Amino acid sequence: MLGKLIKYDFKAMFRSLYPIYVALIALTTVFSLMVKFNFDQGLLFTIFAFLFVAALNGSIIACVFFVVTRFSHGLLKNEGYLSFALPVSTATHILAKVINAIIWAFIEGLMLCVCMVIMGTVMGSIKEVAFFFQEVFRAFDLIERDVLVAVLQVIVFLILEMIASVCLIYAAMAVGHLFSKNQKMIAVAFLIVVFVLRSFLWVSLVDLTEVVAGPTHMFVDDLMLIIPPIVLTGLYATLTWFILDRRLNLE
Amino acid sequence: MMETLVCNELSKTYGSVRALDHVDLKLEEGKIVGLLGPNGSGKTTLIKLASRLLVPTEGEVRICGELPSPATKAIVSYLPDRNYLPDWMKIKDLLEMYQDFYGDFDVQRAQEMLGSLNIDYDTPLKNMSKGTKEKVQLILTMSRHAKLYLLDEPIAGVDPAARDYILKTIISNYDETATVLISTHLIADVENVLDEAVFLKEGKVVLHQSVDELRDTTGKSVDEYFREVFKC
Repeated sequence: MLGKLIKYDFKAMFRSLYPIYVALIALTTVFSLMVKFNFDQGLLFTIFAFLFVAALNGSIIACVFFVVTRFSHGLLKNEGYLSFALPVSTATHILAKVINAIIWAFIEGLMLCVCMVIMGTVMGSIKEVAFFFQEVFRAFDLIERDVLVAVLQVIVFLILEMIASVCLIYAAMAVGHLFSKNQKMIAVAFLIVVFVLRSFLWVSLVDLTEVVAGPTHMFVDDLMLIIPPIVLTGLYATLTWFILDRRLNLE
Repeated sequence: MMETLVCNELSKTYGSVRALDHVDLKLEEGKIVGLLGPNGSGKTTLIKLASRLLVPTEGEVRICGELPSPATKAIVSYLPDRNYLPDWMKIKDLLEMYQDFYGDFDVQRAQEMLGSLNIDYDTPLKNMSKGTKEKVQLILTMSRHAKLYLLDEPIAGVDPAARDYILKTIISNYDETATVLISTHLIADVENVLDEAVFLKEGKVVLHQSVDELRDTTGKSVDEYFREVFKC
């Protein structure tokens, strides 16, 4: 059932986001061609440059927006009647939404890479783009193993942080759902409170690490880097599950 | 006869408001039951509890002996009292989705009913009239071979011709071993299809009787008796 839920969530997101990605690629291509053929002055260029930057930022904002609305519309609004009547557990619903958010975050990242490749290919040449990637991979070989591990740790940390952030947003919407009025305001207030508490948590963890391991200790080397987002993801997901499973009250 | 739906001391409160108050109810298979009561009497709450969209404050509800869970949802076909299908979806998408999630979905039955409405499978729901959307929702609900059909206000807000279509669809498509629970306050329209009537008043069951018995003992139609019981 998890795969089927992801399939229908993906379809719903795709129909909302694909026009934005098509526009982004088209604008990237046009902008790159204008630069290549020296149409890089005047009002027309300014307009296209503005549209290109707006599409770049807009695609990121739209991705976040649709991840959020997919959750709220799919589970907390009228569509929730359909979702919660399906023979699927609440935990599976939440997991499907989280996986869908991760998939679309990667697609968003991929689209930004595609734009870079288009720009590189149009403004320069395919050979230059290929050379760039060769150099990047060669650089990985030259980097010392310890540094590479640290870089990988940071990447893992960023992915875990992203998952924790998605779960936090879902938890905030679920908390807002507990109230009959001002649901969005309450969700935002919950987010702010949690952000403040998280900042305290991070400061405390850094202090604790320095006390335990000394001030010269590299924080990124420590397992403590990845434990907080995992614990927080668990807390947010549990809170979301509790509200949706035990306190759900669709209007 | 097997009991499809059993409520034991079932209560639900929203804050200080008691929507259902220690409801005891047993519905047997093969019956069409009217869940009748004025607005705010607890009809929708009872149906939501049986669909596991709500959790009881006290007591329990059982579907074929089981507490509501994903397993009972697989044998309960629920029609909410609103448009709950995604507006962007086309009929062909909805048929695919119901087939994906419900093993008991009879796509051939659905296609036959949709065929009688001349609905294009490529039309998104958002391009359909309110009445057609409600018919599509009902068709999808009744195309399942479920043990229990929970129909929340299926005829509210549609014209008399559509009401006839909806009631005809219900009585000609439910399985003989299934139970159909129809919540409504439009008694006169449904009374002829009902086997049993349950009157809900302020969250309490005040009557549960076969429709024939009710007519014999009171000498009134269900609609007339309902108006007497719920007189303001």
